[in-house]
Amino acid sequence: MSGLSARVRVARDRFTLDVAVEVAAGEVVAVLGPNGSGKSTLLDVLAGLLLPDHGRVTVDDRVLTDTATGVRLPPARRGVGLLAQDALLFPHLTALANVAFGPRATGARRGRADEVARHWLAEVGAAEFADRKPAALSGGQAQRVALARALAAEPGLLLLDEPFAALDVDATPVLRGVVRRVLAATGRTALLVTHDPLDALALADRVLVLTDGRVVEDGPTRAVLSRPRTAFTARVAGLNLVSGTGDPAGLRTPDGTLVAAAAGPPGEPAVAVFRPADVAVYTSPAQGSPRNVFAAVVAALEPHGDTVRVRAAATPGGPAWVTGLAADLTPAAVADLALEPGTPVHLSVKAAAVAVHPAGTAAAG
Amino acid sequence: MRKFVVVAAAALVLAGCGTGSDQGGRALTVFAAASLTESFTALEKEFEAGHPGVDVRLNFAGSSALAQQLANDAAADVFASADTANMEKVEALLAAPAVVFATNKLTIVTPPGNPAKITGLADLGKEGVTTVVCAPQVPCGAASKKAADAAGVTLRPASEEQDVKAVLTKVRAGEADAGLVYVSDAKAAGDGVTAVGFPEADKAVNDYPIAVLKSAPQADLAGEFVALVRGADGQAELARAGFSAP
Amino acid sequence: MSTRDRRVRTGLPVLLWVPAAVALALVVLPVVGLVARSDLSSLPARISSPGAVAALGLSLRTAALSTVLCLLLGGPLAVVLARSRVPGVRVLRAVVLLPLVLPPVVGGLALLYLLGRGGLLGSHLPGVRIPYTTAAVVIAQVFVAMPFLVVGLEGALRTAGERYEAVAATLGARPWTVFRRVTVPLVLPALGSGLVLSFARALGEFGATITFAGSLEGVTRTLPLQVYLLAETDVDGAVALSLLLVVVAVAVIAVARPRALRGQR
Repeated sequence: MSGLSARVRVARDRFTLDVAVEVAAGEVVAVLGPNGSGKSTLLDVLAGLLLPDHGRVTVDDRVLTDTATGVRLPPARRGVGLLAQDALLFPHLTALANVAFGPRATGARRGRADEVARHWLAEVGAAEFADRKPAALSGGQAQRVALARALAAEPGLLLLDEPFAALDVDATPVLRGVVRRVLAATGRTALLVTHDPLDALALADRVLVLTDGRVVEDGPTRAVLSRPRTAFTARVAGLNLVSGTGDPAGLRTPDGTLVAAAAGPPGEPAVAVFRPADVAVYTSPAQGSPRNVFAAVVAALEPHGDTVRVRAAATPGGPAWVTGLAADLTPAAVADLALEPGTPVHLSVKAAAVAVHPAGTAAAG
Repeated sequence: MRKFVVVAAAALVLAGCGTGSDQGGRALTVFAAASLTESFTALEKEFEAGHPGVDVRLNFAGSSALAQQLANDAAADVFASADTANMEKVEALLAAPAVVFATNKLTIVTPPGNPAKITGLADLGKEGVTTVVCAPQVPCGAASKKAADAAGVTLRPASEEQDVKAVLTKVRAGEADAGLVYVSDAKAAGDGVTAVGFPEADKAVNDYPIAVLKSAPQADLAGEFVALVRGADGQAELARAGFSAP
Repeated sequence: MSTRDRRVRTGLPVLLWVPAAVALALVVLPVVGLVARSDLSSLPARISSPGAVAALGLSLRTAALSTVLCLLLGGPLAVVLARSRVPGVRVLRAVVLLPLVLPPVVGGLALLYLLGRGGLLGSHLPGVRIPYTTAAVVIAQVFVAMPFLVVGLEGALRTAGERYEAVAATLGARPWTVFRRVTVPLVLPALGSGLVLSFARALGEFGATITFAGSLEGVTRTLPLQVYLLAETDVDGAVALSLLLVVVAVAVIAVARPRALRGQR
């Protein structure tokens, strides 16, 4: 099977990246991971900007890097395109000349290169900016041109490194739509690094979660995000996650607390997952219903669209896993309860709103 | 107000650069050509020994620069020039006509040991001999031209330098086979160069005149200093430095 | 018309105006003094004297050649200093600044003891005489002027960074294409101002030239050397040529400098 196949090991002072990544031809895979998890290092190795200690990278069965045989194709000969957070359009060239840069660099005549460039500018909806210099483009327009430029070089693999992170909130959905449409239309093999689960949901067929230099989750996007097995994945997916051991009544945390839910895998490592919107907050203990109630204190209040996200912390002496749980309340509710950081509260969630997933240690390395 | 302070401070700094303080006895200011540095410095000590409480201040520079300073009202008692032309420029400022107290002749200088085997002025016109002289616009260059004309030699200089020191630098560095400088300069250069005398040097003798200025603050001391220079001790000191008697 | 004109600026401390005015006066007043001292009626005759014409022609030719050499040699040096990861580059970067801090006369002596007859290199070049030639003038000028180009260009290269170059490489461009189509255009403004500064420095070069190359009309006596020689004997002539030098310098700055600045932003 062609596409990307990479086994990479890079040792740094206090960090080792050690991953195997397979992307089928035409597939789009998202890489999620906290800062310092090794995402940038992985991209640099694939783009040929960094030589791994050990590893082999092939794209469409062409060997780009192989430390065993000493193969290390330079960036210019790898056919790996890069769309970064900043558009990095060459400031001295027009949008058209920027897009035509790749074809010209690989030997196309000027007329032919311009033709290719116009095609790709039209493809990303930026045909009207052809004659503008980058300084005269908005962030979103520049990123479109940068996408066209990356595609015009006909890369065998396209790397998208947080491509929407520097854009205005309004520009992000539009450009995300453009990338989705173009990737689907061209059947390009692509690896997308992002923080935003929406990017992954909209663009990726599959998600890899990278933590501390290892792949800890790997699976279809929707499945991974709706059934997170690590705290990081849960947080990017906007979900609460409590880990422990499966129990016929739900999940048992290490300190013995029962999180009531549908039955979990008995005796197996498992995680309980629930949405912040399903968490209610009380200042006095609620009584007499089949609910989970956890004592906590308010750590922070964050505006979150129309709601306010209440971040909880453990009570002094209470179980530590409570820290980081979130509840979404209306601003009115926050005002009624007079919540502020430090307020003791009780978090309540119905057993029916809690899902328990097995948390088998994900295959890595 | 602030501006005034700045200007006043600047004025003080400038004033400080121009003149020294007048504390402790009398000061005699002598403007002398740079080539007189060694001999006049020796005479300064002798004069001060004979005149307790008197401080002789020597200002050495090129004669034309000194003449220009005098024309611009610099305060001095005595002016000793390396040529008559510059003395004539300040004729109106003199208390009495200038008198010649020494003469200086040209000599050929070569790198130590005379590697190019230069024997006379004629060698300086030869192909393959790198010669460095003073530019004809400055006094030592004018004298060089005069001597060469008298010898019927056409000099073919590789460079026409600004002053004698520049000629000596090139010869000392071995970058010239021969140069033309004054005997006193060759003497001051010591072992750094070898001097080769030539008879035509007598055709371009340079006179050194000395005079007391009309505006001299210490006219009596000035007269005594001139007498010292022209007397037996002064002449001996000048001869040691390579000058000839008038 | 533009809104910028109406915007209220944060005030400039009055205290800065006084030294700023003094600094400006220090630059402008000497030139005014030069103009005041000159005899304008005899100016044309003095400037068109054979010695002056020869010196001006020699100065323009040598300074132009020196500037080209600064570009051909100093440009690549700046790229290496900015991009190379070879250990010791930091030391080299400091060494390149040496001609900026050395008195030019010292530079001239150093060149003499390297390329002169008895010099380190010169003694191995029998039959080749470098001092007293126009080539020596150009070498002295390159020596003193090149740091201006290297320092400015290297700074611009470091500021521009390598990210654009990395992107160009991922688009399939080989190193030479990247250099030609990305690196050079990015630093073009800095290159322009560096060349102007180098030319101006070469034009005004005096100490290293007179020490290393000597002074002979039409061969090594450039305009500054001619001025220095005339100052000894013919002050009016020296003043006239000084004015000529000022005019040439101002013309160079006026023609090239704004263009170099415009692109910089």
